[in-house]
Amino acid sequence: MSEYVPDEVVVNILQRLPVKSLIRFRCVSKSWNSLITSPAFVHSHLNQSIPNNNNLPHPLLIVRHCSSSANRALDKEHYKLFYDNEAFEECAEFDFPTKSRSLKHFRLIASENGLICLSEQERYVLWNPSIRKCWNLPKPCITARKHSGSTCHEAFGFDPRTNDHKVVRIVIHHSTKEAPVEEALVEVYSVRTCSWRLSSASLTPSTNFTDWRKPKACLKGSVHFAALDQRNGTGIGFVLSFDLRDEVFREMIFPHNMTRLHTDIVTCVFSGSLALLCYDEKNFSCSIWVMKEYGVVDSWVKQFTIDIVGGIEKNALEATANDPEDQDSNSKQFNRRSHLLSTICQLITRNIR
Amino acid sequence: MANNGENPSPDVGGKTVKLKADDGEIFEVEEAVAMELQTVKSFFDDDGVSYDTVVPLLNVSSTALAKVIQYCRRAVELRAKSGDDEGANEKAREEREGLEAELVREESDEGIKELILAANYLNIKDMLSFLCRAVGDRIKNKSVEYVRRFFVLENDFSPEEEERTRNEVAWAFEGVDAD
Repeated sequence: MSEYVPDEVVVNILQRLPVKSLIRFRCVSKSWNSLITSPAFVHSHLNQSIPNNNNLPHPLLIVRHCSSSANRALDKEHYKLFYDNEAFEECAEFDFPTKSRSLKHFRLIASENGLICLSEQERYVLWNPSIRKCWNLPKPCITARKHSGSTCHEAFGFDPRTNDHKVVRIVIHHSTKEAPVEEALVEVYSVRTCSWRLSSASLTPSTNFTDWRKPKACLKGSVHFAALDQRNGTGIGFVLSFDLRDEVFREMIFPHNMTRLHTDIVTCVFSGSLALLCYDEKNFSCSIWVMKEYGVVDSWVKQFTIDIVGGIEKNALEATANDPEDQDSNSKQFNRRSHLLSTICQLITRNIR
Repeated sequence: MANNGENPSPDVGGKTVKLKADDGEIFEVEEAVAMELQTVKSFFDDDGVSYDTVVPLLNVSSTALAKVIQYCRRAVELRAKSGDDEGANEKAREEREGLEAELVREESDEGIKELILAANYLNIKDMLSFLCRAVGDRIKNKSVEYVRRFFVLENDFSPEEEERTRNEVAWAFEGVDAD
């Protein structure tokens, strides 16, 4: 006699399954369909799979590589899965479900929890490769003025407190003859409400961001921009964080002993802490500063300096990690990072004519 | 018998507890092993229940109970072996994984379901965990029909609804094992 399995045991089993199986099992019955697509289940499945990684031998990394050529029809965006280990073997390639219309490629805003946010001017796209769903966001509220009239700074992040993914858009209208006052406007898109909303948060329009068109770190429910302080003319940099729930800007000064020869400073998350990737174009080196204790300026530590032979194309800092960093020792991470950076260099230099 | 609430270590020939399966068969088990079954532990945690009382486990067959006891006995032994020593811990962990694999290897789908239901009813967290993992491994590449049979579920979709959902997620049907 076949016995009926209680719901809590079914959930226990389903939480351990890979996403592809779960998507297929949506067809088993209506109740399984509701369960599998319910936000609570999705959330707990995600949290389950991060430590176990679905019993894979190594964490996975998504590497994005955009090829371009004179023939626009041949422009392609590649998203490949690699095993994040010494061998760094390719595991799979995703089919990219859409195509950019006016630019050669989309711009990567960031990726968080398996969701990838891309943009092409004012068209924003969210893509979840594991369930193969892709959708366009509605038009934002603030229209950037064309022809150098505005600069747009974007970030994408996840706020665990409200269990919501958000896209943040800072639009700075530069002063023109018609509109001499420079202004900075902020709007936020929430995946939960599927809508854009102007934020009352304010920032100085003359903020000198160092990470334009680069991904911004998302940590503790805030996205983090990097900027230089022009006020005292000292050019000291700071991290400008935007809290996704409270919609408030906060500043955290860069390390005191950081030299100012960097051309690109980008925030990222390193082993669960906020970090700065500082690219020094002159010396072809990249240093990684880690803020050991979040919010404590004295806890910045220069963790690594990486020499990059041949230099990196500016867009190399766009590598996205599919899984949070594991708890390996620092030297292993260092090897992995430099291997990754050099792999990205190879990927990009292969396409430089 | 006094309820001293202490678990004797397995190698000290301590108290035993009697467990009764659904067909009336009685299993006499060392107390430490019996306490792995949280349901049994709760039974004795009640005031005034003496350790002589036979615990009725009406929802567990004797075949399943025998296997559960065998697993818990080995699990308790292995836990006693591990301590601060990295090497010993590693070895114990490997042995436990071997034990788990052996338990499920020969089992039919019905058998493994029976074990899961027993582990769930008896509230044995570790055993339930690895059994769910084992079932997950079994079904992950299987068809929708296989899963329905395994969990005894009816397809309550209308033909149109089912077709629509299947088309939506057609990619997930690639590489599925034949039934």
